Amino acid sequence: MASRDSPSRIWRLRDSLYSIRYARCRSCGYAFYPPRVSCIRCSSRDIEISVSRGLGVLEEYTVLYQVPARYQDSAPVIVGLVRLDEGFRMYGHVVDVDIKDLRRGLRVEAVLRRIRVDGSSGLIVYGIKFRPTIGGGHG
Amino acid sequence: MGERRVYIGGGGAIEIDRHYDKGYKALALEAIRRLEKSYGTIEPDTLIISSMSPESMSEQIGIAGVIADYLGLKRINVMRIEMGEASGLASIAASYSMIASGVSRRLLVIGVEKVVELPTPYIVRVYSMIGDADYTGIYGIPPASEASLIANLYMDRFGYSYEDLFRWPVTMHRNAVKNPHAMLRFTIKSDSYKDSPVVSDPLRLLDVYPFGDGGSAIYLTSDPGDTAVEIAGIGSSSDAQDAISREDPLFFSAVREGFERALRMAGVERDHVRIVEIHDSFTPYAYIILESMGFAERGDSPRRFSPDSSSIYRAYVNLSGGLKARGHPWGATGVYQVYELFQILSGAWSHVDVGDGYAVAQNMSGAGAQSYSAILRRVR
Amino acid sequence: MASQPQAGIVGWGAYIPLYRLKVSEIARMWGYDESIAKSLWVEEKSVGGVDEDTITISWEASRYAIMRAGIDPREIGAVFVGTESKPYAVKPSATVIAEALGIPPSKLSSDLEFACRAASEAVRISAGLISSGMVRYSLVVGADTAQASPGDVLEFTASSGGAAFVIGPPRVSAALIEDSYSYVTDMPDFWRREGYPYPEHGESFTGEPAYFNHVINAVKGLLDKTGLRVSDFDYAVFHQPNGKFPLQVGARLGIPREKILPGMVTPYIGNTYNGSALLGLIRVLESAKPGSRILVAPYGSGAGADAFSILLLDRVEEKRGLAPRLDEMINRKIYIGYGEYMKYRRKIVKQ
Repeated sequence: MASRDSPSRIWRLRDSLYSIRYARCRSCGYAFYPPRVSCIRCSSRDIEISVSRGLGVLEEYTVLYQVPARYQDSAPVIVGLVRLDEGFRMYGHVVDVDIKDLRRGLRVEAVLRRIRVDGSSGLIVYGIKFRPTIGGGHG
Repeated sequence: MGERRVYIGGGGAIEIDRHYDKGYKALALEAIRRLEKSYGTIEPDTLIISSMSPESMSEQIGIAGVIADYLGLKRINVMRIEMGEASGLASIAASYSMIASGVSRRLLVIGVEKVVELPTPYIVRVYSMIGDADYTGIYGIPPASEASLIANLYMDRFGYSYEDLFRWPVTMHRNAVKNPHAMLRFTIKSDSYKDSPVVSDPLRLLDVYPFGDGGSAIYLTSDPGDTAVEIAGIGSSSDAQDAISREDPLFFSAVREGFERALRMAGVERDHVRIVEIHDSFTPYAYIILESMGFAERGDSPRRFSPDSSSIYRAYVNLSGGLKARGHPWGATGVYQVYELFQILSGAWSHVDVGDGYAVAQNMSGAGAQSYSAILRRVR
Repeated sequence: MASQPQAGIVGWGAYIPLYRLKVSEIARMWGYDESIAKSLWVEEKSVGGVDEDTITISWEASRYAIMRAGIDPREIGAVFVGTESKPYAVKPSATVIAEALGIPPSKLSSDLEFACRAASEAVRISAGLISSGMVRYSLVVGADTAQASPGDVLEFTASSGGAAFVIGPPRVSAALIEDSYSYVTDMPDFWRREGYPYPEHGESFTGEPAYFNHVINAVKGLLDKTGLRVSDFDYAVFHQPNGKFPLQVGARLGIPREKILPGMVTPYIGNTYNGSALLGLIRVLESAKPGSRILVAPYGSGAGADAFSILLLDRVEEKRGLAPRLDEMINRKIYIGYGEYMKYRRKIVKQ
């Protein structure tokens, strides 16, 4: 199976790797991630795409031990359900926090981290993870 | 709605296990052998292969053609159907359409999958491909982590403990003991979870389907012959790929709609359903599926499900042991479900009798991203 | 007196990773006498997580610098990263950061290498770009995940962190770059070969003829150029490979300890290489009174030193709270052991 990261694909994904672009339906106001062509709730195509400030709340979390290949250096991975201040939800790895300090309601912010590395000669994929805010969070 | 009725002539299945000695071809061949042992020689005009990951596991594209060639099936219609974990019932649905429309008269569906072909982290990597590759795929958010978040949300919202939900795996294991092709044919106790490693907190290995290879075959015909069972209806629906971008991640609309569409096509009410096989890939999904199918109010299925009889409302549930204990060879699972219900309706499982009741199979991908239902009934 | 300052620091930002490894733990591992911590005056060092590198550190520091600058990233016309721990030998770190921060294509951008002073040189280059009108704002980052051979004395101090600055016109600056001077020669005091993970150095050779000679000459060059005297400075921030060198070079220049201590960062987080002196500068930016004049003298092996005269303006006070402060970063920590450190710094070879 394809095990090398494709340069064109990684480049093509940079908008969703380097920032959080979310959708809000102009008809019904529903906000969702990732963006789709039409609203998840009301199917309207009148969709506005914006960049999130990256600040939000950790609504739920799990500590994942069965980590997929190529992500194992980060095991165990804390997978979070984050509700961003703009009102949508997304999954993300949560870092820079001890498992015993995790709690629902923790304020978190999006940061750029290594997502995966293609061996010793391939590409480094950078993307979004979440960590507890520093000093209350600055947007 | 098709012109012709669709009958199940026969079926066969190999035990779900780590078949290191068998690839796709050998698994398909064994499934056929068992089918022909009970049915007799088959002469399909069409071969449908249901398989989720032959490209990732065996470097094989066009698997249906390669299997047809290997089995010596010449000059027939050949295709592979894939819809993630729901490939099995998606294949049954497509096959139903071909028979109902008259395009096919004798159709062989084989669900076949190699799963235990790589070390666990690589199996998890392949399994993660059922999610959006540009989101949960590349961000390393495997299906087990989504299921665990949903488990936590479910327990929080409806006030259940982990032990409350663990009754499901206990019942599934008990059921699987009586299923000759189940993978985990041993009972467990209500506290067995304590020795089970955590997959993604709070879900443990016993809450998650086991990785195993499988092959199951169903022979569909437009001519009833000696047949006892027909497919009375099919239905499917789909939803957002990930659960949390939906308004309510604790209800699977795709499951409800797929089931209701199948009921409508079959001209049947939920009350007529006597036995179901549902897609319990992870413990919390079992409860959400039962609620989404309308067998209990939201949040109520753990209370409504009777572990002793493995039933809810008026229907037996997952007497096969479900994905949890019978196993889940990905693309083959839906075909296993149909085979098991066929066995029960045709009287081959003597310990179960549902009279003239309807049987339903429900097979989905991800956390209710896509769901198919098939309704079976006895015709004589 | 100095010529009219034509550039200044419009915004600044620091980022220090969360993890800390105690010097005593490294000493225990490699069999050093525990008094090494005192002799270096370094207590513990910052360690980046397994998913951190110079690019991620630079991004975070830059984000804070842009917040404090209060500008739209689209106004930035140059992006420079000074580092000696580039994630790619060939592929600029600066372009990844620029793309992730939304800085558009019409810009200059590159990574600079000059051991620990590359970012400092980029500050001088940026002052030139702004004063010539070529560029309105320049983003400069000095960041490293410093390398040291396991068991070598450098391992006690080589740490991870970054300092970022938005350099721009004086009239929107929080601090003026009054003037600057560079003193650069060819000197093999400390180097790292292409393809090799760890640097080598000449031990005490890196002291007198290298660090001290170049820093003193750079400071003297600045004083000659500007007519300033050492006593005109309220603070002095030096490149800090350990806690002792800045105090020693300060003493030789006639600068009292009290003016040097506020800009000391290495004793608490180790030597962040390109972040070293620049983080010391940030510490003073975040604590000193407007009107203070700061001498900043970064040094890089190979070898060269710069000397800056920085003047704090009133505007500096209102910018401090706009992003996390360096001391918040320093105090935000979780201790790890040597094994975790090896894993996070990718020193464990898996075939």
